[in-house]
Amino acid sequence: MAATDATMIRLQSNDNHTIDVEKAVAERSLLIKNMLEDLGDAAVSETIPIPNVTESVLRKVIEWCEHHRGDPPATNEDESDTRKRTTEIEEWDQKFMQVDQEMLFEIILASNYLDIKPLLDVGCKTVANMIKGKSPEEIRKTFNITNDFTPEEEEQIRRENEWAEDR
Amino acid sequence: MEHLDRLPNEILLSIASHLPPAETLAFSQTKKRHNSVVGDSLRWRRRCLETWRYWHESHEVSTLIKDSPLAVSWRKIFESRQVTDRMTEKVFETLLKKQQCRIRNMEDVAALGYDVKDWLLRQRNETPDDAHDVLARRYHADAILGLMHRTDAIDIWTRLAKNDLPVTLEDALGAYDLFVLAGRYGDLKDIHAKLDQLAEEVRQYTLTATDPPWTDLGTKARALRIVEYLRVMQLVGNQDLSRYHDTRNNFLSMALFEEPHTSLPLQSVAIFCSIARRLDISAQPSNYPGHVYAVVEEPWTRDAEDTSGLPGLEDFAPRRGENGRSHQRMYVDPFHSEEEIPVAPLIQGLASMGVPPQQIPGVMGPTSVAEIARRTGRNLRYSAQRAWKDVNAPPPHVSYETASYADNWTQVLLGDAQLTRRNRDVALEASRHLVGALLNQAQQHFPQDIGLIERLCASLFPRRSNDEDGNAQQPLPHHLDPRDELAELRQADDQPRRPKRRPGSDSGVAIQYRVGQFFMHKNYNYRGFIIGWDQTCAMPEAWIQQMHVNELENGRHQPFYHIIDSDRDSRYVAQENIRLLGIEAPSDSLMSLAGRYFKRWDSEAHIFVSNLEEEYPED
Repeated sequence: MAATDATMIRLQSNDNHTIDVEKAVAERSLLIKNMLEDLGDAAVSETIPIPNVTESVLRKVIEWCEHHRGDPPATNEDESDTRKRTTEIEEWDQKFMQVDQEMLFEIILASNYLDIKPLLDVGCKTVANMIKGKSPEEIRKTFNITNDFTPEEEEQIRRENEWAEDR
Repeated sequence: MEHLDRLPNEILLSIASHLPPAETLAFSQTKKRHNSVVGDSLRWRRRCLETWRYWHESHEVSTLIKDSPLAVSWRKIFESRQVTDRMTEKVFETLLKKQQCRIRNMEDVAALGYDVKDWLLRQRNETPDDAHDVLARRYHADAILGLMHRTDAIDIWTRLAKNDLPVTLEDALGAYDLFVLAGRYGDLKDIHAKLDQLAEEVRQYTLTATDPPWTDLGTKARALRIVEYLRVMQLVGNQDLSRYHDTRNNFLSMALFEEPHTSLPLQSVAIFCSIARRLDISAQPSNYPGHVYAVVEEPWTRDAEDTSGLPGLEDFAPRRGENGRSHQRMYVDPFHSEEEIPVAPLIQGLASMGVPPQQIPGVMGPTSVAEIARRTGRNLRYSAQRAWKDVNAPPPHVSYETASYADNWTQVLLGDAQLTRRNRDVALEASRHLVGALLNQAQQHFPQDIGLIERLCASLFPRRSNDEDGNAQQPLPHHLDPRDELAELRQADDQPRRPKRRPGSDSGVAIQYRVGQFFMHKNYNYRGFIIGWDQTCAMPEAWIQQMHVNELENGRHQPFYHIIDSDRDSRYVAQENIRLLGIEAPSDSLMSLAGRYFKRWDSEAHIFVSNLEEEYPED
């Protein structure tokens, strides 16, 4: 198989737009990577449908993959290594995530579907950062959350946990 | 549009795993679904922190509690700590019931460190008065806590002696708090937290609204601000000089946590220096004879026209460093005064004490942490000795026995013999003498500590034939080696007790009294309880002569009793000198000592219920 980096493949969004993208870039998505492996050489000539993602989101995701094409492959998350969890996001990704909430959540869902773990991670951290420093009411406001607790239930949860924050 | 609703649970979890505890809680309060996703981990976290206040350092709990509750497997931690508690319970129940290996079992529990502290504290503090073995339970829980804390204290002093890792002043002195802490509040972590808090308060503090804020102050003014704060808050010094020598004044935790916050000058200075260090000011206790000052050192560049130096300062104070920089020193006395202490009178004082001029720079300088730790040991022993002699003094914070035990430990670890290593034979002899004293005290009052002494001996008296410099080393002569005695103690603990049966009525010997009985000495009037007996006086001839045993009415051939008196001493008393006390109940201090030998006090039968059944099965 002579095809290397420069090989192009064609993706089709759920709103029926086709996007040509370098195979190496598209393979940041483990979903696509596995699909290409299954298809073998035939993949290059076929259009690969991405039924869950619209064109605008798919382009955005590909933009991210382009930028991160040289990153070392995502390792399996080491569950025991909790110390490394931070909400720090590198500068380019921060700018990349400066989108409206609609798009932010679309990117998260798309990266989940396409199995692009590092991008999903950036998305989750971005949402976590929007929650930080906020009260429950402020969080509800930020994300337009409908409160389905009775005041008593809410008070109970608060009270149950109150003391543990004292330390 | 409620976007979060579109995310599957795993992604919500993944978002929440990036949230610190407070925000995880806030998030859980926003909606039922969010609560159901993160609530579980919050609950496990809460259960862990609610159940155990103390954690072995291997958990790094101070980091864990700042981490996202979802990123920590609190449930696993909960389960593993529960296993530890159950294991501890098993060993503890065994050691309460069985005399054999009691010390070993206590050591095994203590070795688990802070992971068993909560469990032991519950035994010590929450065992109900009517529990069938209440005294034994409380005593042994407290004794194990004592061993655990003394292990840490000795570890600190050992590090200080080796000088390989720096030991802070508050740790070197706080080790004394640990040494006597047992089941009380105020360990090093509490002391650290309090000092951190005070440092923060100093930063925020101004006496009047017009005083400049902390950030506008130079080093000197900052040092004085700390003293001012400590004195205004009455956290240093001692208003009541008639209570100057109270044993409590030797302890940082007493000064920091107990009203009134009195301390000795040394501890006042240590509190000042520890807070100063937290605020990036270099301050150490002085080497000055008779009274401890704090020496504040400010690195600064001396320029030519700076003649503001204090009178006499030129003679000794500047220590020239690199690049013509020198350290300016200032003296404060937080025990007495808010003001800076002028240098001239200090130097005059030295002259009148006859200190030769060439020694003045050294004496005016800071002293080492090890020296301060040693000094505290001496002070503590002295305070406890005074308290012991002064019948009108309030009950001391620690007994004389405990104080001198602590002093002996720091003497053997930090004394001249260890620090100078000049004359090996002298050092060895001094160490051997001290170890003998420690062994005696441990046997009497801290039997659970023999492992600590075993370890000490291993480092003091190596069995190798060469010392560090490769010189051939004489092995310690057999009769001088305390390890034989230690080995005997160890064996005595490890082996089953040899039961002592009461002689039959036909033997002609009447052991009138029983283990557990409470009595008064007929001649000396002190109170005590019986922990053992011999059919006749079993002491060596020399003791019999010295104590005039033969002059007793019934002489040496009468039963003798091992007893513990209300001064915690063990004694050996002839049967004819014992008068049982039929109505009076033992004092609280006797009750707590009794837990080493007995299960509880039976107020109806007026006797302690024996926990020495292996040794005295028929008593």
